[in-house]
Amino acid sequence: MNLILNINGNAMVCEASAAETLMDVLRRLGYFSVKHGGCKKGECGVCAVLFDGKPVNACQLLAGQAEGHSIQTIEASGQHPEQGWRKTDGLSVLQQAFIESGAIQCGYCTPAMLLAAQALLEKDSHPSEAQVREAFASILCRCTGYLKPVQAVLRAAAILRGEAVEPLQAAPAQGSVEWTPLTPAAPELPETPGGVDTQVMPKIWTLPKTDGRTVVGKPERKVDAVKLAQGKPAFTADLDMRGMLVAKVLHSPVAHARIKRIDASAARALPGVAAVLTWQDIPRVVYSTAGQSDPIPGPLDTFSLDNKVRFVGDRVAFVAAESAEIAEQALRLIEVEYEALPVLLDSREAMKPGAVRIHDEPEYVNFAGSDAGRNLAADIRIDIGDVEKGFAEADRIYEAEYEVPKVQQAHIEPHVVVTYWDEDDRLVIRTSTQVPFHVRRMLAPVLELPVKRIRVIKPRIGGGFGGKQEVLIEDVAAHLTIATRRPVRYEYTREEEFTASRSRHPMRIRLKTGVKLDGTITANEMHCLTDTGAYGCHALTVTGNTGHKAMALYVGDGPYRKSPNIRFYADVVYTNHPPAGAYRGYGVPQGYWAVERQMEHIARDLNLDPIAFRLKNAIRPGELHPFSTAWSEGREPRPEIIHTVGLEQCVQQGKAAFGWDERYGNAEWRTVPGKPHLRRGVGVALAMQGTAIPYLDMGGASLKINDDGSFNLLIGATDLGTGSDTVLGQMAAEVLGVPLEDIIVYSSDTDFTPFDVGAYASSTTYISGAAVVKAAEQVAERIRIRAAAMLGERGVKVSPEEIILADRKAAAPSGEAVTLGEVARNALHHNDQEQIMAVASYKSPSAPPPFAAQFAEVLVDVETGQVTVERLLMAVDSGVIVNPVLASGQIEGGMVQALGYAVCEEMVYDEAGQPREVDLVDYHIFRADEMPELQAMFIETDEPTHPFGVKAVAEIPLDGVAPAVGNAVLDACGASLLVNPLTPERVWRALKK
Amino acid sequence: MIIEYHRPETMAAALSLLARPQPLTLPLGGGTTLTQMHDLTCAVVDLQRLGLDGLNGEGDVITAGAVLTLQGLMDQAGSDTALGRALDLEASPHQRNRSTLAGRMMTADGRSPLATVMMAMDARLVWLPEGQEVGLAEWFAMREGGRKPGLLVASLTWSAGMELAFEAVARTPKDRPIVCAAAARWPSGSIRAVLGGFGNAPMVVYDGLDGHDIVKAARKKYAQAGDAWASAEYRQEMAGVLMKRCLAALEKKEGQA
Ligand SMILES: Cc1cc2nc3c(=O)[nH]c(=O)nc-3n(C[C@H](O)[C@H](O)[C@H](O)COP(=O)(O)OP(=O)(O)OC[C@H]3O[C@@H](n4cnc5c(N)ncnc54)[C@H](O)[C@@H]3O)c2cc1C
Ligand code: FES
Ligand code: FES
Repeated sequence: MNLILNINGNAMVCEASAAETLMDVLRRLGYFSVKHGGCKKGECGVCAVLFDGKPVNACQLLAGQAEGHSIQTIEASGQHPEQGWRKTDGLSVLQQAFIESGAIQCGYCTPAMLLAAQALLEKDSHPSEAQVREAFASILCRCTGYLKPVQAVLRAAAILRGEAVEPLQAAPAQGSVEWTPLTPAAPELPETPGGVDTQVMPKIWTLPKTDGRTVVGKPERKVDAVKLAQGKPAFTADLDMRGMLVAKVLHSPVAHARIKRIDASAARALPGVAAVLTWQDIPRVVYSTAGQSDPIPGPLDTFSLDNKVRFVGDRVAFVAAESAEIAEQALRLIEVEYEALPVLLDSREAMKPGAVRIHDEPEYVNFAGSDAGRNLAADIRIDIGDVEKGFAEADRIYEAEYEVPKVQQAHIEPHVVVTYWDEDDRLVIRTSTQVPFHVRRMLAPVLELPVKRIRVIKPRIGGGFGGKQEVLIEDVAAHLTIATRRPVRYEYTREEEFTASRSRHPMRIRLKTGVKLDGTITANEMHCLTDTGAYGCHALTVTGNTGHKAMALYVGDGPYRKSPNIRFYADVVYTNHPPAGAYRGYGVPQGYWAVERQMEHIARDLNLDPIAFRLKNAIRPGELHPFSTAWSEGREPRPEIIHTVGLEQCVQQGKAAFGWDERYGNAEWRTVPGKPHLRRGVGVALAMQGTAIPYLDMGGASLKINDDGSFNLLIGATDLGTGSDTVLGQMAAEVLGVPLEDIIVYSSDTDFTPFDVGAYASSTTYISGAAVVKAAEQVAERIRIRAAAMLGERGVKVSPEEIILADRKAAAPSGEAVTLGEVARNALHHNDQEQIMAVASYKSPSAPPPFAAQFAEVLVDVETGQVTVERLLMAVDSGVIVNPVLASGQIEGGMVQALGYAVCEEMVYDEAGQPREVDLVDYHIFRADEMPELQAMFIETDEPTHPFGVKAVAEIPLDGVAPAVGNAVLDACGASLLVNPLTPERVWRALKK
Repeated sequence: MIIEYHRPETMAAALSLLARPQPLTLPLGGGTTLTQMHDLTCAVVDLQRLGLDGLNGEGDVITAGAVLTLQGLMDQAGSDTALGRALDLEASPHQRNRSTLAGRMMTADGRSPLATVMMAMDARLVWLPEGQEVGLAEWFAMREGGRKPGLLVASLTWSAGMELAFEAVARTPKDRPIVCAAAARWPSGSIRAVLGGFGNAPMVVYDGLDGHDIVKAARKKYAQAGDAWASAEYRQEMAGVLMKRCLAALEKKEGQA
């Protein structure tokens, strides 16, 4: 039908079918700011438009319904302030506030948030925090934890009212903020911080040596924020190509079966279908989907399509058609006859004799201890010291079995890929991935193409959190492009994200700890039984990290500190659950649930202060990482000293800011007057993560100067919304003495940017950052040499080593200077011409762990078991903080993901392996209007192994929240849970015990 | 898949479209559900031009038009009332801006907080063309049997002047309830108590004057209410706890009045 839609004040005539949603039509017309979360129930809200001024979901509205109404998208708001000779009003106040406040991480939810905020401010110029949160309640953001977006709106509202707001570009608060003295004097408790204000800077204990830096350490705006705030077509799906087909996959309805017969003839005959591929149509190449370095540290057990299905959601056939509707119709026409096989879902049954074998294919390739005959994807046996002797020397032995669930990354942008042949017959894969270089290397054999004929482009990514450290769907589109010779787009629906994606590994963890009565840990032993699901992607390495990080924190005290006794054994087994994989934290949150719950039990049982007990046994600076001589992600281990540990200061400052001493053990505070069914409690957990994989992770950077003294920084590192492009740009700018705006950052494209392993293992700032610094130093050296010569020509005698790069100039100590633009033009055009440029790469011999103290406050309804988390505070030692706003955004957002792990997120299956959760309604992630108060603070340490002293920040916030909440529930009401999340029924049952 | 879209200007035109034997023709409220039913082939009749979005009180009867949005109702009810809290849990703001009262009641299942509260309010659906009034409980029972009392819901009605209470338990403050309870008390002293959080429709626990043993009746009602989300044992216990809280809240309100 013909429609006239009033979009952003313009009458647009368009064709639409009766079934088309407003979202489909707007995106077809090029309004790519209207994003798509793949939902069926309108749960993500990123497709929002203003409909007669009110925010609504465009995916839940027929285009026909919109005729005669006004539709507004973010394309109507603001534009880049500088458009050459054409002057503009620039970005809107809201857009600017979002950019300045760090409210944009991946930016996928940003257009929707901006529209919702705009509608609110049009109604009420003085909104309260609660009103802002309510306005955001329909929009799921998995990155920010909502705090900075809320602050941005309050800030914009104040500016629009003409009020003065505090500048954000101020140096991180240090002397101005009152810190608790480090000597153990009685801490003076600050008042409980009340809600949010418009100040987005976290509290940072800065190091004196960082004084004088002009870019590193500053709250620089994200380099990609301006385009994201405008909803520009920056993401994978924001691309229209002539003749592009839509791909769909037929997923298995059963958990375990052989495909006896498959007949796609009816589907192929359907008009509009370009190709249907079954296992009979494509090469049978065994591989692993885990996006890791070569050789993959895990079994090869996957085929693009197979004649066997191993979980509900496994692949059966691929379809490419002219439209999504036709492709879906074609899926229904594929006839499949399944021969049912026994279903194995209980990890405890997997290795028992007689258990059904999940991988019986002859092509299966083992890695290390994997044994498909026993359904064993990986095994780990690590003994450090003499564990039995340690137990014999203990006064008490504590043993318990913990259980952690399968949970979803739930990035709001689904997996999405576009493939096409370019004019040179090279296959281009434009994909939302964390690992573009691994995609290229790993898919080459699967597609029977040499690496050199594949180009992988990573545009902006709408969140990944590990879910996109998987070569998950690129092969589907690529096979279909090969089959049809046409461009193909494949985008997961939210349901596919649940049924056919990856997740955090569920585990059963047995812990045994030997302790002396004075609280000295004498030995610690962990047995993990991990359910990797149907495929062994990340099987070994995720579970390895469970031990490597969570079991390394508490080494013991006294003689045990010098020679800790630690055992970590794990079996990672196949079942007919959907495969698990990488998820931010990478095995470590699982470990800390067990370790930190156990520490709490021990401290309480021995009547010890829970924090003092932990610190007594925690690892200290200068000590050997106990696992470094035993295990390294399936590779050769090498000893590693931990140089910086800010744990004690994290505890002390975190405690003070949280008001721990006032609350812990305070019976009066625990009760709520007039509400006898409510109890308050506080809990703590300490954590240690890692930074990169030593001797393995490598990142490259290439840097060149332009005529005006600006620089192109090309990096293989993969910014998936975290802000790594910005942070790496800041490092280059600091070395080169220019503002960040002079660094044009581009990531990543396998044709143009140097190699990088990708965004995982918290390695980017540390590894890729060091590569950037190396390249920048080489460029700086060339600049100094040339500048000295140029100054010499002007009669200033100066050696290159004396030249200082600052304020876009190369200056002699006397003050005489040449601008970098002059240096660039001299080099490019005038004299002894050269391109000042450098390429550098970096791999690290160390993986310095960040540390953190996590605090939680809860309110428990002891009649219903409902737990309401009221406050989360995390004090983090991540080394030197390169960008305080981005770093605190990582902590806030990470804590909120971990909060889901604590109270509501889990993926549950029935006895046939059918999932309970297939959308973001049943799988509840936290909304803006139900958030606890969040606070992130940093204790800087100066990590000597990095040029700027940085360590990782991104994963550690996932570690401590669940156990801290568990410990707080114990504190509140005595309910002790060994299983997370703490759902009302679980807490109620624990209370009944 | 939706194969035809109609936007009639008159009720007569709407009814005649809906009365067609072929193709299957359905009323379109907000569209928040219908747009997602890709497997269903149907034509839709958009009700937006029919003036069915009012909310009026006449005497002690309140009438809400079928296409009144959930937000429209919330604006009137106030967000801190029992009805407002149920609406808040029912749908997020973007949904509330589009989703219609009738559309919700057509598709609501037992976990719907709004259906639970509206059933406690003894809300009735007015079906056209006959103008037949059908209570929500009755509607859910008919729906179970695949029957419809008419072509279209024109409005919902309920009586004014009742006191309402609503309680819920969920994993987080804004999650869908695992169990919820609502109770209404009329000036006559008559009480109507309903449980939600389970099954295909909320369940009426009690409807009468003496208010005797409602808590016990609630527990009994959910004695078998186990599913993938909660055990029957837990739901039964919560039915009692939440119903007790609802009744206490009603009593408190009475005390204040
Ligand atoms: C987050 C979320 C969770 C949800 N959870 C559930 C759930 O658990 N259970 C559930 O059942 N639904 C659920 N829904 C769907 C929800 O019930 C719908 O959103 C609701 O029906 C929307 O109303 P609408 O006006 O948009 O309906 P529409 O999509 O327009 O219509 C819904 C149905 O009602 C009919 N209808 C509409 N108006 C009338 C009328 N006046 N007279 C007669 N028939 C009419 C339509 O023909 C259609 O069959 C959920 C939705 C969301 C977004
Ligand atoms: S709500 Fe529309 S895409 Fe998620
Ligand atoms: S910034 Fe909100 S989803 Fe990524």
